[in-house]
Amino acid sequence: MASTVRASLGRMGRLNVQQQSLRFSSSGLQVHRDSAENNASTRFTFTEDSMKKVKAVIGIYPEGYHHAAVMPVLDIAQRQHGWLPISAMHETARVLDMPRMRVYEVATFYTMYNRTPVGKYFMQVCATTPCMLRGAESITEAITKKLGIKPGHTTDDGLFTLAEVECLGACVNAPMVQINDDYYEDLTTKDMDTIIDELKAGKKPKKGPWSGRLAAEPLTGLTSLSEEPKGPGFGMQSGF
Amino acid sequence: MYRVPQLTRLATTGARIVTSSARGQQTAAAPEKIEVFIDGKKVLVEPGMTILQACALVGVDIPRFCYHDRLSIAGNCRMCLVEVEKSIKPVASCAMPVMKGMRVKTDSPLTKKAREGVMEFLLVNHPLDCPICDQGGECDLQDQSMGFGSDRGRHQNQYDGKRAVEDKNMGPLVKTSMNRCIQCTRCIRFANEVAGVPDLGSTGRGNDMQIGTYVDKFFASELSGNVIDLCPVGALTNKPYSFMARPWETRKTESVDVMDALGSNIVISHRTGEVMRIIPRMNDDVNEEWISDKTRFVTDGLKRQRLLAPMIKEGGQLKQVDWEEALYVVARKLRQTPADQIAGVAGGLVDTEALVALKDLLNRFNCENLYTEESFPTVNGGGIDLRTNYIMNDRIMGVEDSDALLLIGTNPRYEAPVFNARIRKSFIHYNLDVGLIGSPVDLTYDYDHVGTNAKALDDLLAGKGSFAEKLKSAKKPMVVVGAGVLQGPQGAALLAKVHQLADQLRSKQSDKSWKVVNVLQRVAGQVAALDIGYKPSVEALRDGKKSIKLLFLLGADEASVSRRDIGSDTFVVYQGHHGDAGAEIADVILPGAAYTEKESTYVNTEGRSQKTLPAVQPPGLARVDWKILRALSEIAGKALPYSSIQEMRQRLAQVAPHLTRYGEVQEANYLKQSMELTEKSSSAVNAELKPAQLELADFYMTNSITRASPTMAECVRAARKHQQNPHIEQPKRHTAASAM
Amino acid sequence: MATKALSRVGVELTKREVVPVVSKNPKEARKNVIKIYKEFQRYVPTIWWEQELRDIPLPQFRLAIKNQFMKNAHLTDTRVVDRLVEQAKLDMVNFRMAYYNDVHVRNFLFRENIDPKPADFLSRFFAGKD
Repeated sequence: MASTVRASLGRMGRLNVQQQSLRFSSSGLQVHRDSAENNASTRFTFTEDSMKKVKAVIGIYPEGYHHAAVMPVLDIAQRQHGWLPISAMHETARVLDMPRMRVYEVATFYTMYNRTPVGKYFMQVCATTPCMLRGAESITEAITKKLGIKPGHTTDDGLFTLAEVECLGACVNAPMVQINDDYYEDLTTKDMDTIIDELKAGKKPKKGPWSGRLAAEPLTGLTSLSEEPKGPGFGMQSGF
Repeated sequence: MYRVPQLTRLATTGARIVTSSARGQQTAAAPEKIEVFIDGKKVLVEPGMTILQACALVGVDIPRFCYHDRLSIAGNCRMCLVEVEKSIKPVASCAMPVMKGMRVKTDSPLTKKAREGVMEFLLVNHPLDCPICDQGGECDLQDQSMGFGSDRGRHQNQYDGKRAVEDKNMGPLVKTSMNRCIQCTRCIRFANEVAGVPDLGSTGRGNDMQIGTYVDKFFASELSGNVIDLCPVGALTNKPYSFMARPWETRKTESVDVMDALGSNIVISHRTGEVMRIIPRMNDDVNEEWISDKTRFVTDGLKRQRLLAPMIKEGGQLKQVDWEEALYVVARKLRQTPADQIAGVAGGLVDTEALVALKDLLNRFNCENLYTEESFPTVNGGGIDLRTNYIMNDRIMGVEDSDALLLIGTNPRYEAPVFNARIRKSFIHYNLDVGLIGSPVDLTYDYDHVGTNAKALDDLLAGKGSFAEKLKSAKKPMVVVGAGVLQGPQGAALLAKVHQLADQLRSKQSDKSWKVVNVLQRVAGQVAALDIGYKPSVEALRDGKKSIKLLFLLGADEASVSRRDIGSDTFVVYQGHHGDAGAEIADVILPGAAYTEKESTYVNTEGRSQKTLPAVQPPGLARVDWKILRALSEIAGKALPYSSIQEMRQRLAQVAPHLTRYGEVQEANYLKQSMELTEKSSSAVNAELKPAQLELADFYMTNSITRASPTMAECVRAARKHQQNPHIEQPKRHTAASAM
Repeated sequence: MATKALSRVGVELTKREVVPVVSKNPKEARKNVIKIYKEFQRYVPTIWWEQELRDIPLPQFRLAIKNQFMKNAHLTDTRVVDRLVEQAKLDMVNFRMAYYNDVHVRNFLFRENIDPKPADFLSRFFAGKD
């Protein structure tokens, strides 16, 4: 159905539709819609461990200014739950003794707070210029072909969510994908398939560059630091 | 928003610029002024001022959207950019404090370019709604684009398009059209700081920024209508007034509001004899720039349930008659009834002229039985003989100078919302400590809940409790007792206790003009009635000791006197403007005028006499109240000596000179005698002090006009539904920091 | 400039006397008044018959015209009298051209449709809102 829609809209229409879906995929809707899984009565409480972390974070800030801790506490809540339901924001507001609206404002400002459910593995493909030059779109296509989901959607089993995001700061190792907290860089479409298979199997794929180099080393070989470091006393007079 | 020249606004608020939460004690010596050059003109300003305020002193109006002198500074609209010498970038004048020797150029090419650029950006995403937008004609964006914007923009709508934002549902009062929002965040700052309801916020960022409540929430504040005035564009507009009129075709009449005892100054916009809307007028002493929702949205109550013609009950049915017949019937009854069997009861919305006319009329027939519906204790503190006993002696402005405030049995949030806003302002900016004796309600500021029973007063007298410490060490403590809890059998004893406490606090004062004891009245006509000499309760009618054969109900709609109390053979004459409880039991109905239709005087709870002006004519055959009584007196044979409003005012001045000194508050004294007349007792008063209005749904319908208004009914419904909303927050601690 | 000075001096030397515009003395003014009065009274039957004013008796009509003229009988200034004569002549023209209809005549000459303004408080009260 999507293809017929696309065809009927013509070239301009296709561009607009594409733009819309891209825009809303990264930051989402800025108003809250109650849904079955995300409403004021969705259960959320901080676990023991989370509460310890929360208290540690709050302890950094002086009395009366605890609302400065809203960002780390929201992050703790997101890590605990996987995503950030509205009741987590309410709980944060309660713990920090601040109006709920202020928490909403912070949670909607930053795109890393996922206010809609994401899968167990949140695959964020960098889609900005340097990665695009190195073929990021093909990575996205590979994921789409393998899992059958489009950017912004989650698989039916709730395992994978795909999103195209802004620059992740790993331009030297383009194209790359961030899955939860880890970067998988220097990818080819085959590497992407491998990663997905490993994740499905429950294994932890290799983090970092998949081309074999160390971090951002030059692909063509090291141009500096190619020898062992000189020992002490290098280039100094023999008298010392 | 009723436009007031910037200069006068600044001149009245210049001293109270809110820049930081500094302690309220005014510094003894004024800080040394620094010189600033604005467009070449030298001006000496105080060091804390911003460039925008300094320019206003000179008379230069800098365009702005987000800056408002009663809200905190945001600096996000960038329209106030001016060129400052030595600075490469233009500077946001609303946020930049002046520095010595600063040279500001408000008409340089850079400034003009900045303004045109900002305006162009604002208009890029602004919809072309002017023809259907209610703000057209009074829109800041329109005015400033004409004054400071360029004549053309570079926006290409067919390639770029304009952003669209979904409308939020903020309740039955505020209509939102968020496409038009320019994200100035004035409404957010108002809700956060003044209204104390931090439900509005800005979610998202950039083009996707949404101003609203994020979740589906009703903007549950009694001051919610003020965001309509604040919004510089047509994003937040008056829902009942939508599409009704344009500002240039309405006439504006300055008047005073009677929904509560504060006497907020209003402007009635009317056109072709119909009241269109009510907007606030600025009066720093009474209501600053805010009015409550009841005041603003009651206009459709003025058009419904009106009494249009005199009526006489014949055979159990009210029949319409003409004035001569109705007045003749009443006059005959008046002449025939013996003096001690006549009585008059005045309601809460009655103006001073009608009160004086009724009293004069009945006194001419040797009758002294004149009562008000709202009770007040007649013993202790001098009863109603000493004025200090029933007015707010320290004035509404006194809250800003005070450093400890004790509220007794009152919920100022719903009884006098603008007063509550002022208390909140003092709580945030001037470090006011508030204590409450009564039901624990959410007042939008933190308070010490001293107790719910009047017994807590004894603890305070003895000095027990943390709040007692604060009261004792306060330099200007204020005790405000609500008129609602002074009614009933315990009222007199409670008043005595309050006076005792106030006397104790006063004895530590060196400032003899600070009175400490204050009463917050609930109805607009009460202070005037007590000033003139009405007896303040209808108990005398109810206990059956008097047999009343002729009862005058002057706007008495709270059903304080019912048929059972007075007897089936009493002849009841009702004079008022709405067909409410009073008209139900009446034998003769004389239609009067509401507060928007007559030139009248109302005295507010501080004792400030204020004048209303007629915006429209009373509908149908209705007449102005005092004129009905004057005509009645002539037909009854004892004509009152005044036929025109000037003569009426002279009579008012004769009765009590302060009634015609409009806008001033007369100092009430005789506190010593007031204390001498108080029964000091050591036994505690055991009374639960529960104010009548506890939640928002109770706020909206309190008098005959609001009961007739469909808008108010919608509000009550929305407020009740809001309580089932899963997203409401439990009232928590409010701190001054959370308001920032 | 010399001539101007001379003429100014000349004006000051001559006695200040009001120079009438149309009629040179009161007698002539009176003659003009009577002329226009006679013209009116001669035209009255025509108006009375043609403009549906026949319910008013003719003598009443003549009396009304006479009263209008007598209203200004106290005036002495010839120029004012001349002006009023001119106005009466204009009214005559309006009558002849039928610019004045019967309603105008009724309202102006006989004040028919105009209720007396209530004077005292009670009548003002019953009549309406003032």
